[in-house]
Amino acid sequence: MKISYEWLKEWVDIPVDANSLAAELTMIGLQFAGMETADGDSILDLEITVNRPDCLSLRGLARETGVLFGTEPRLQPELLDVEVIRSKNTEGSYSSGEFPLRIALEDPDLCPRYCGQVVSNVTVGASPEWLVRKLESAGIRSINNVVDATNLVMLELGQAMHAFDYRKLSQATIRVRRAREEKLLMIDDRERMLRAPMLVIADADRAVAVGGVMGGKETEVTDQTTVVLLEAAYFQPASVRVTARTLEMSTDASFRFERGADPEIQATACRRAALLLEQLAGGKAQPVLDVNALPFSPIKIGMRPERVERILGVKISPEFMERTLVALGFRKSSANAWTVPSFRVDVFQEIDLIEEIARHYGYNRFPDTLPKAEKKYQPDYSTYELEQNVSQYLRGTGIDEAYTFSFGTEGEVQILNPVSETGTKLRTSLVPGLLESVEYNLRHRNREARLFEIGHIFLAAGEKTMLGLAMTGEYRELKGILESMFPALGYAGPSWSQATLLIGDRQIGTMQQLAISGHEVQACEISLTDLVELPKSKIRYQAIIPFPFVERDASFVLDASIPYFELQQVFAEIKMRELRSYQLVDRYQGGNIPPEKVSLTFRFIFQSETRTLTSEEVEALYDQIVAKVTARFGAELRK
Amino acid sequence: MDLEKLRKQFVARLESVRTPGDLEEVRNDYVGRKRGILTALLKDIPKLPAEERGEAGKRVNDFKQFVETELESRKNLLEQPAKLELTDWSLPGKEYHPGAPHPLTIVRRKIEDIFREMGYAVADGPEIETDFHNFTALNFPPDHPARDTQDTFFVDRPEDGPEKRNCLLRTHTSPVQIRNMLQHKPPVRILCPGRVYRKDEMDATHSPIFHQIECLAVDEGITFADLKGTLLHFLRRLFESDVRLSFRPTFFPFTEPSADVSVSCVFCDGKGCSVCKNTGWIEILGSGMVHPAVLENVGYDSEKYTGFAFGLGIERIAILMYGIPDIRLFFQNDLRFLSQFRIVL
Repeated sequence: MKISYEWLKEWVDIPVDANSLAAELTMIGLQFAGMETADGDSILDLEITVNRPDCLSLRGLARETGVLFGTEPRLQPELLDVEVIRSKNTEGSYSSGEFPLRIALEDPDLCPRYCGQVVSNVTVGASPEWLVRKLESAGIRSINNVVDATNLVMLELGQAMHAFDYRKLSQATIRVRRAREEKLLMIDDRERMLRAPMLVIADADRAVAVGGVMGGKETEVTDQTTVVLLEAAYFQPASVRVTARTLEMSTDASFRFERGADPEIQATACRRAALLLEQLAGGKAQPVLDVNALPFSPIKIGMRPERVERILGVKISPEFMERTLVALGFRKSSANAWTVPSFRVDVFQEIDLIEEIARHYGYNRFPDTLPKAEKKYQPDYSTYELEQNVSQYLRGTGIDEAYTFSFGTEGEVQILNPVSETGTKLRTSLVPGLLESVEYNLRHRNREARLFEIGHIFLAAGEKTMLGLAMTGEYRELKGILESMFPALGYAGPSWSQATLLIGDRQIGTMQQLAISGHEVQACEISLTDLVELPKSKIRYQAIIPFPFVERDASFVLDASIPYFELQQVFAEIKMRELRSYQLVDRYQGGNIPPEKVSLTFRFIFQSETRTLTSEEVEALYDQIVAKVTARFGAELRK
Repeated sequence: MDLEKLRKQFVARLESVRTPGDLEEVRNDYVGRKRGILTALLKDIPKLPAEERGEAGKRVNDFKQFVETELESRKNLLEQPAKLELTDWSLPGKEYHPGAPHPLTIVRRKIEDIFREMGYAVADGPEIETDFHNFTALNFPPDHPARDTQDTFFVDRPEDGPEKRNCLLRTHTSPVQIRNMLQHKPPVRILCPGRVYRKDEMDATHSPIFHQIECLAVDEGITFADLKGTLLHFLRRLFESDVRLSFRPTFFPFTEPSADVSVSCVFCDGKGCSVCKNTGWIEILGSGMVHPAVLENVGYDSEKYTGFAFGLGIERIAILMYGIPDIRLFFQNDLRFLSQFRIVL
C-alpha cells in the first residue's frame, strides 16, 4: 500500500517527519518497505499483512497513526446528505421518478449486502489536478472523473466500488447471482468464461461484472455516460479469492475483498462517492438503495488482564490496555469485555486483543527471559544419530557431502503442477542426482568426484531416508569403505548378493557401476530407515592372544570366471581354528598368466590361542588350504 | 625343563631391549655359544634316556628357531632408523583431504547443537504432506490469501485415490510441529529441520526447493518474553557475537502475537553496509506465540499451555555467513564450491 505523507496528514496530526513515521509504523506491524519523494511529498510504501485489510485505506492508517502518537484522527470525510432506502430482505427497489432501481441478492451467501445509487446529469471528463495527484501517489492511474471518484473512496475508506453506465443496464435491474456458463467482455478488453461458483453482477438479461473483481466493458462509464449507477457491496472473501484465482486476475478490488471488507461501510461509501460526483461531474444524486440481507452484528470478546500477562510475560497497566483498545475503535461493553468494530475482520478471540496490546506496547520493550528447565526428555528422531554418524564416517574417508534436487523425470509420485519439464516426478533414488553431480564435476575438469547425500526418496508406499553415494574410482574402494562403515556404525558387517547389499539376511542397499566421461564410477544407495531398525552389536573386550602369529602368502592361478565369494565359502568350510584371518593382497591378470585366468595372492595369518605354533604345524595348515583350493577350483599354486 | 616358562621369560627380555647392545646380550644369554641357555639345553640332550631324546630335541630346536626369528625381527626394528632418508623438510606432503560437510549441513548442525544443549529434541516428518498438517491445523483458513505467500506443489500418489490435491509438498517445516504435538502430550521442545518446497522458478535468489529449521516449545507458563530471551541466546551463539535484536509485529496464521526478527548487522555492527543495505539490520526469522487455535487443533488445552515457535531459512543464514551470491550453488555440488567447506564438523 502506497500512502502519501501529506495526504495522511489531512486525516491525522503527525508530529514527526516521514522517515520517523515509517520507522514507527513498522514497529506496530505496518512494515515500511520503501519511500519515494516527489513535489515535496513523501510516498511511503507499506507492506500490509493479509489480516489487516482495514489498513489498506487512509482511514485505517490514520487510526493506527493516531494511536501511535496519541492524536485524534479525523476519520469521517465529508458525505452527501442523501436519503438511504434500506431493505433487510434479499431484494429492494424504488421506482419513484425518472431513475428506478431494483436490486436482488439471489445468492446472499456470497453477497449479503449491496448498495446502489444512481447519479444523473453527470458530465464525464478529466479529473482535477488534486485528484489525479492523490490517485497517482497510491499508484492508481487516472481514468475519468467518475472512475477516479470511486477509486478515491476506495483509498479513503477501503471500500472498492464500481460505476456502471445506468442506461446500459437492462430494466434498471441489478441481480447478484452465481454465474451460469456465460461469457463477459471485461474492462481489460478480455473476454472470459464465467461459471459457478463465481459470483456475477447481472442486469435483467446478462452478467455485467464479476463481483468484487472487475466490471464489464459494455456497461462501463464512457464519455457518453450521463447517468451512473454506483455500486458498493460486501462480497464473501473466500469466494472472491477463488474467482480471482480461477480467472487468474488480481485487481485492487479483489485484493481488498478477499482480505475482508468492512461490512458497515457500503452506504457511507456511496454517499461519499455521490458527493464527489456532484462536485466533480455536476451530478445529481438519487437515494442510496441499501439491500442488506444479513445485517452486521458486532461480536464481543472477553479479555482477562491475567491472561495478557501469561501470554506476554509482563504486567501491562489496565489504563494502557483500555486506552489502546478504545483508540483502535473497540468499545468497552463490560468490565473485561470488548465490542469489536466492524472493520476489524481479523479480531474474534481474546488472543487477537492481546496482540493489539502487545503491538502498541512495543515488542522491544518486553523483557528477555528463558523458559524454565526442561521437564521431560524427548529423543531425537529415529535416524538422527545414524545420519550424523554416517556423514561423519564418510567425510572421514574423503567423500564430500552433496545436496541434490528431489525432482526427477521418473518416479512413483507425480507433481501435478511442476515448475519445469525436467522435474515432474519425485525421486525414488538419490543416485541419479548424485551421478549428475559427478558428471558435472568431471565435465568441469575435476579428475575425481566423490559425493554422498542423505535425503528422502518418495515411493508409492511412502518416504524413506536414504544414503546415496557416487564416486569415481574402483569398485573395491567403495566396497572397502562400506565394509568398514557398518561395523563402525555398530552393525554387523555387510554381505553382497550380486548388486544387493545385505546386513544379515536383510536387504539394505544396492550397488551400481557405470562409466561417465571415460571414468569408472561406483554408486550405492542404502536405506537408513531400514538400517536403523536392525540390532546393533555392542563392543565386548576380547583377550589379546599372547602367542605369535605367522603370515604365509599363496598365489593361486584359477579361472577368472570363478566369483570371489566361492573362495570365501571354501575358506569358511575349512573351519580351521588357527586360521585367524586371510586377505586378498593382489589380483593380477596378463603377463605370463594365461588369458581367462587370474592370479589371486592371499595372505593367511595363522595363530593359536593357546600356544606357539611350530613351523611344521603352520606348514601343515597352509598345505591343507592350498590342497582344498587347488582341488575345488582346479587352481594352480604359483611359485 | 619348562620351555613355556623359558619362552615367557624370553619374550619379556625382548620387550625390554632398547639398543643393539641389549639385543646382543639377550642373544648371548639364550643362544650364545658360551653361555646360551638353549645351547646348554641342546648339549644336554644326549644325556637323556633314548626314548625321550627325539621329542625333547624337536621341542628345543623349535624353540631355538622361534628365538632366532624373534631376535632377527627385533634386530631389523632396531636398525630401521638408519634407513631414514629425509634430506628436505620442505618436500610436499602426500595429498589428503577430509570430505566437506555441505554448507547447509554446517548451518543446520550449528543450530541443532545450540538447541540440543538446551534440551530440545530434533524431530522430522514427511516431505509429502496433507493439507491438514501443512495448512488447516496451522490455522490457515481454506481459500485465504495467507496461502498465497506459500505457493504450493500438489502431488498425486497412485494410492491416494480419486481425492487428488489432498497431498502436497510441504511449504514449511511447521507440519512437523503438528505431527509431534499430535503424538506427544506437552511439554514439547523440538527443533524441526528439513526440506521444503514452494512453486518458484529457479534463479539467483529463488529455488523451488530450500531448507528451513523450525523450533517449538509448549509448556505451562511459556511467554512472549521467553521467546525473546531464547532468540537472543540462540542468535548470539549462532553469530558468535553480541548481536542486538529487533522485534516487529507481523502476521502468521499459526502464531499470535507474531514477530519478524532482525539482528544488528554482523558485518558492520549496525553501522550500515552493503549486506544490510545500510539499514544496520538483517531480517533473520519469523516467530510468535503458538496460536491457541493450533494448540486446540492438536488436542492441547490452550488455557493451560502456551508456547512459542519460530522458523528460519537455512539457505539464508548460509548465504549471510559465507557470502554466497547465488542460491543455485547449493544444489550444483560443484567441487570448487563444496571443497571450500572442508572443515571438521
